[in-house]
Amino acid sequence: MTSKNSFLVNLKQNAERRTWSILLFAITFFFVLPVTLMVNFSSLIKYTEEQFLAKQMLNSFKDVVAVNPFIMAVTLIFAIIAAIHGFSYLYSRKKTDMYLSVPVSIQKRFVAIFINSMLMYIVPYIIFLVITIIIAGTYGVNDTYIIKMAFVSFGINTLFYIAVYAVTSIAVMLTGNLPVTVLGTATLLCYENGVKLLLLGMSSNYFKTYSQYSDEKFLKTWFSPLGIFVKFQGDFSSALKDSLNVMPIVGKAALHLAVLAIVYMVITFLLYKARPSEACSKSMAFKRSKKVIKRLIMIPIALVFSLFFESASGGSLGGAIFGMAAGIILCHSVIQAIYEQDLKAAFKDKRSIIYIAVVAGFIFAVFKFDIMGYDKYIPNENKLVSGTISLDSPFGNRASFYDNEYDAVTGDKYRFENMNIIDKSLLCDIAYTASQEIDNYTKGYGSEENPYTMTATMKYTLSNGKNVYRNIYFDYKENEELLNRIYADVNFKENYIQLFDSVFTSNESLYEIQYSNDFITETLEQNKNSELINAYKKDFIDMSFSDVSNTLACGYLEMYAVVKDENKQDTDMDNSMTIYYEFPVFDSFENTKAFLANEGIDINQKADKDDVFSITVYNYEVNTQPVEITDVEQIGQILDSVYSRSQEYYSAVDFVLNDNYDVDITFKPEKYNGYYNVTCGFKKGMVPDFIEQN
Amino acid sequence: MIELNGLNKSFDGIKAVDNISVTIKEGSVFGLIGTNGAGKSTVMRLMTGVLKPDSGKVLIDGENVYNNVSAKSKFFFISDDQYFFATANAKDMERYYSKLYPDFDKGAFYEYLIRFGLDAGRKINTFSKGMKRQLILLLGICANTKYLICDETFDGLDPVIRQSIKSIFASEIEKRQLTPIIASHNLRELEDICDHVGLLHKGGVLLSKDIEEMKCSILKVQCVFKNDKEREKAEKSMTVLKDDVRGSLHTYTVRGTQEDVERLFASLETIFFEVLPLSLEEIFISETEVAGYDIKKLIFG
Repeated sequence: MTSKNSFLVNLKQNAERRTWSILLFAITFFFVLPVTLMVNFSSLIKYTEEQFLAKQMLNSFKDVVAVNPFIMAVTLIFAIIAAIHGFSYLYSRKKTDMYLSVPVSIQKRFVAIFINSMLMYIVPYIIFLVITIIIAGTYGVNDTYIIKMAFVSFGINTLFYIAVYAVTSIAVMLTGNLPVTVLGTATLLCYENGVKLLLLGMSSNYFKTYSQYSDEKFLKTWFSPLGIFVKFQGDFSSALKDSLNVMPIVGKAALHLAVLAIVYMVITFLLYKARPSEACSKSMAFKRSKKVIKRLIMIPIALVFSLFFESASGGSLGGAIFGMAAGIILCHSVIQAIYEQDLKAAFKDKRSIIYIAVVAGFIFAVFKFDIMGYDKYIPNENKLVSGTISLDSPFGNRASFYDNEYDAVTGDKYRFENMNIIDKSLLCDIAYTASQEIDNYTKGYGSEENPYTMTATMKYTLSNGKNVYRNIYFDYKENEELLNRIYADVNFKENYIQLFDSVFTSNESLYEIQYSNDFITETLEQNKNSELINAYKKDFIDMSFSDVSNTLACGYLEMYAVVKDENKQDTDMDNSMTIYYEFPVFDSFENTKAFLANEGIDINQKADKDDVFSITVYNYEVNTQPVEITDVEQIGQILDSVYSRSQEYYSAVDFVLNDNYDVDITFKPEKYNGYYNVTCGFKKGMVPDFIEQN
Repeated sequence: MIELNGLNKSFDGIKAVDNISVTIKEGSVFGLIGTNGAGKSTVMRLMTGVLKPDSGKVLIDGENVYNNVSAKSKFFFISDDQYFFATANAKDMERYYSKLYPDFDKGAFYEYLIRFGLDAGRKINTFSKGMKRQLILLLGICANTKYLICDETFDGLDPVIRQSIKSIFASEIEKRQLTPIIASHNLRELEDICDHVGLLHKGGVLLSKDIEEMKCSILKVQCVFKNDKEREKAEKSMTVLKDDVRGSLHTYTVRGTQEDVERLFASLETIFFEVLPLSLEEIFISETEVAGYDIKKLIFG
């Protein structure tokens, strides 16, 4: 036999058969690469100032060859076209009669289609990439790093192309005509992420203790090349933008895509071998897969419908059941009609309807009625390694946190990464307390029935490496002892705020520190930073929950520094940034108070009534016109009973200002070199009579 | 030799081929007859490894054909709706097939093209249906494979071309023992070319016989007996497949050799008798009617 010959002729014939795809790919790359670059360059030359031109052209070059979003879209579409077009003969009886009767092994035909599919993408891409680099060079835009990144991008795009090609090929093998293949490809590419989003949506909708931090690992895409690549593109672009080392990101994504591509190609080949040739023009190629695929699609759709209709009906169970029934019947009818290519077949296979109703109903019940006890989760102490308690007060909302690159992060995220409480009995007690109180959640925490609500997000790290996140709620009045135990944990304290962190301590000398309670702001001597910070740390470590549970902060320390982000290489951008912290000072902070007193600062000092120009009081309860008070005596009375809103930010949990009033204090211009306002509120029960009477 | 052993194939629960067992010997022309939907094309596609049988085997010279390049190199399959590459011409198709079939006779192919008036450089998609049929037949013949499997290939060919193709077949059979296997719904089309015929009906083989053998073993006798006693005697002594009576004239279709039948009737008291040969069509009618089928309906609609 002429095996080599037949392979080459098959390769050549296959290439000839796909001429239009080859042309389409080539023309597209021509426009996406060199043409885009030249259009960008000519526009920049026309409209950019001379001094910025070189840099802008370099950026444009990078955008076109390394982080070009069009290439991602083009790659996705091309991979789908290549796979469908490559195996399109499987859709036609007369083509299968010809191709399957000639003496060419199916392995060789498969490989020939694959090689051509790769070449038709790789060849024009690489040619036009090189041309683009040459064009950029003729404009004097020449950067080795960007060129390297262009080829890195080419490599990872190619892997993405192969992986999507493989997924589409699986869809081709499973189906028998073009429209169903396209639907199948979309389903295979999006199913994993779609189902995960649905489960997360249901979790957040039905579980009271669900935390969004549970999403992070769960949402990681494992099986969809599209999901992996979208994530990679985001990470790659930002890393390139920040001039960070992209290779770890590239390596990880490349490995993942390569493994998927290999696995999917093997599956494709096995399906290709097993695919009955009589499947052409049918909807589905394999009889056995029909029900499985239908059910796998119908279950999530039934659940989506139940969620939608439950929400539309104001959370009624009836709405959810109706939605599920409608979803099952609609989806089943559509799929059946597609399968049978006959609308009359829409209600065939009623057994599947019952099956889906039972399975989807069970899943719905698991979430809706928390059958698995998600909200009453208590970690097994033996399997618990450590934990994080991210309490939302009294410091949760106002504190600032930065990661090692000085990018702002949330307090929860910072604490989850740094706080590792190893007191397992404490963690289990918290979980137990929360599980006992979760039923009160339905009454509405923070409502009149449950006014003393404290919330926290917990992270339990288990011995199998899994992290379990929960939002918990409990009554702090009844659990003061538990809270004091939490506050007594040094690891909790040292990671609750960032004052103890190396990001802060390594830049301690840079900080300018001020004390403020909004009425007064005093700047401290920089050479005493360490002394103040040490005093504050000591007070903070010593602070118990009881110390601060019934008080407002006296004021706060403002600390800010201008730092350089060494990782940011981009010379065109300012790589300096201001990092800023606020740390509250409570009455129990003896060391800090003593230090500040030494510096001549009265931490409780408010405004002098003679410095106040006027006070405007807004009453939102009765919605009357604001009242402006200029009488000095009345101003004095008001000053005695108000606290600044900033103090309230750090209030202990049950100490909030009266929300019915806002008090705007305007100081005389001579006091602060211009009019200066402080927004305050009255303490509950301390609204002066003359205000209430007005 | 091509052997179909206990072949079964169903599509969506509908049995298309039902336990077919047929042997096709080399150097003969095998005709596969059947109405539309009888399963001819399915048998052809099973025979060429396009379809995988649900059960049973297709052996070409002892090799299983499905997914077997070696077995597939021994035949050329012309389907009922042949595919040519888009925008290809006869030359392109020759190039393709000559790479796949190493014994492809390029010289003969271009000679045949001229003889049949087909332009080698003209795009095939501008050819008529008949021209396409001629082209694929020529490609199939020139592939020089041992077996040429044709599904309804003679449909659409005018009588002159059909005759030319048949004469090429005859010469190739003589020259290199080519074994054409031709499926058709039209018995008359195959009558003068086939050595062996298989009749398909509802996925099963009604009969598979050598034409000469059939012709020799079934006869038609027209006779007028002197009396009923003689008639009864005759009928008892023969295997009567069919008896048609018009007045006193009996027309029997009987099984047996001409000599035996003539001897029998010579020994009887008859006013008149004559032994007549049967056309292939009449033989089929007789054979299938015995099996309980109305062949006229099956084959001639």
